Amino acid sequence: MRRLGLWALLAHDVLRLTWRRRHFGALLVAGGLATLGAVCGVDIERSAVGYRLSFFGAEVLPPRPGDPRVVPLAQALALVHVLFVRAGLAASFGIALGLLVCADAVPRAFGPGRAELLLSRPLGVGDVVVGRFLGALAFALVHSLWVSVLLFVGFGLRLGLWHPPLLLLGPTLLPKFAVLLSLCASAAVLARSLLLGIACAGLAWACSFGVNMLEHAAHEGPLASLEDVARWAQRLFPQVAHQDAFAAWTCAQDPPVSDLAGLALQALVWTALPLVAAALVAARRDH
Amino acid sequence: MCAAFALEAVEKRYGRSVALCGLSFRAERGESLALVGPNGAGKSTALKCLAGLVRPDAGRALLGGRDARSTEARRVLGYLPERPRYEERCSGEELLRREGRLHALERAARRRRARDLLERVGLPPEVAVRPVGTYSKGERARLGLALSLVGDPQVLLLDEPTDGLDLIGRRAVRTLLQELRADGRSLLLNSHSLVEVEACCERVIVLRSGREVAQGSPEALRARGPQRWLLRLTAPPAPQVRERICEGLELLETDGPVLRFAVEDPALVDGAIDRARSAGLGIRELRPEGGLEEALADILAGGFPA
Repeated sequence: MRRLGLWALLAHDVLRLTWRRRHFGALLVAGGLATLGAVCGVDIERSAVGYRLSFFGAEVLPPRPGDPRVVPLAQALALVHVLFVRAGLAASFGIALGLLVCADAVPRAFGPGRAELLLSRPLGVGDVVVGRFLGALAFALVHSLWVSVLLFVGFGLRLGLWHPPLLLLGPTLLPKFAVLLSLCASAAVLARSLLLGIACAGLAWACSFGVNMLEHAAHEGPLASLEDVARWAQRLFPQVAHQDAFAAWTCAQDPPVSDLAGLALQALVWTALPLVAAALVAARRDH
Repeated sequence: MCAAFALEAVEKRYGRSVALCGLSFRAERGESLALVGPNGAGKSTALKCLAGLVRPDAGRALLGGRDARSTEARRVLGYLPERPRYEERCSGEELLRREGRLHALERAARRRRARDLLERVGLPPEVAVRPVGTYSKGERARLGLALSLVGDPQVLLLDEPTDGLDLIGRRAVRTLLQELRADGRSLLLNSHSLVEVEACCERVIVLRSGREVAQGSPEALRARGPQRWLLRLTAPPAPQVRERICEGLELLETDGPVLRFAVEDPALVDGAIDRARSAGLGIRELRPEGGLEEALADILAGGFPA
């Protein structure tokens, strides 16, 4: 119980300090404007047989039957994911921005002058790592909810799509953010360099993108001979980081819950492993 | 009974440079110690070992009989680092309350403790509510001291607590440290201010290159240094009178009515006073000049054996 209290305190520290940064307001406004801009770019052309979705004039979904205002919830989510997770840049931009803002949440605690203040108190290195990481996640959650609310309102006002599941869009991106932030924070703590941490997260993202492309190419045919390699790469690399797997899950028709549990477990493991490594190394290090 | 804090044959290297070389000392509960020595002598490293921030290569650092790196041991500890970095956007009061939460204090106790400590270290309320980023060096030093006291620690490790403080601030901190000492807390002070060391510590450990070269009470260490005295007479003495006054003393300097001399046995000073009076000269001032600083300088220069 005391440990949970400590984590909450350390997480609150990160939230409070991130909130007080001068650029925080600008970040919220920029995120909001980007979201609203993206919403403005979406267009639905209705016809007698169905509807067609476009994003700034480019078709993102082939013509579909039915009325978009009365599509089932899963399809509504799928619609948004296709626009903003797969085809759109907004989500990637948001995650990258979030990573930049939160990258120093954990390594900052181990900086000169700060580590002495924190680690001479009755708490362990592990508590510091976990508490501050949770703070960064909480910040990302708040920000993603803000963007989701804007999306919800934007879609509602512009296209008449009042789908409450849109509010889940941001939170479904959190596992991917958590994995990348964990890699970033751990690398920064281990190498004692924030820049290296950010570079590490960027590299992980690029690798996941590469694996994703490879898997696609192998599955679609042009690189079918590399299917085994792609399968192995997929096993080695966290699926949550390269496929927006939660988004894919919500897009699926009648998705199996067991898949979701597997994804959650994978996200948890890939988040926890780097953090544990960072905590172990930092605990053995002089401050 | 276990010691309040102790280093047992602690060795620490940073790469090729030796920070501590078999350093041992212990302090009983309520005892106050000072570490003095030149820059790079290993004073801060010794404090960090005791604060659980540095892992000794060999030997043990103990707080209340427990390994200093254990969380339990650090419950009794208050530590002020040499160059603390605070969250600049938080106010001093906020940091104190947060520190109270780290020490699992109740909300009301946190507020009370924060208020008391701010008053105790002399940080006015209007300053306490400002962001730390706007604090002066002295205000930061006071805040650091207050933060180290939030957990009501039994052992206090203070690394240069008066660094950056003005005269009044130094005096306030000195008084505070004397009060803490009177409360029965154990204190380990790393300071270049010997006035502070003399006023607040019962025992001084002199370090050089990570080794202890001398230790003892400030008085005992002072006695190991050269005995220099200043004698100010009511009028300048004639040369023969001056020679008679200084019989058995080593005259170092004369400046009108002022005589500076060195003496091996302080009892010989009484004879000089008698001789001056018998020559019809009054005594305006008589005081020893060789302080702890001279004694320590001689010890560190290798003039006195450990």
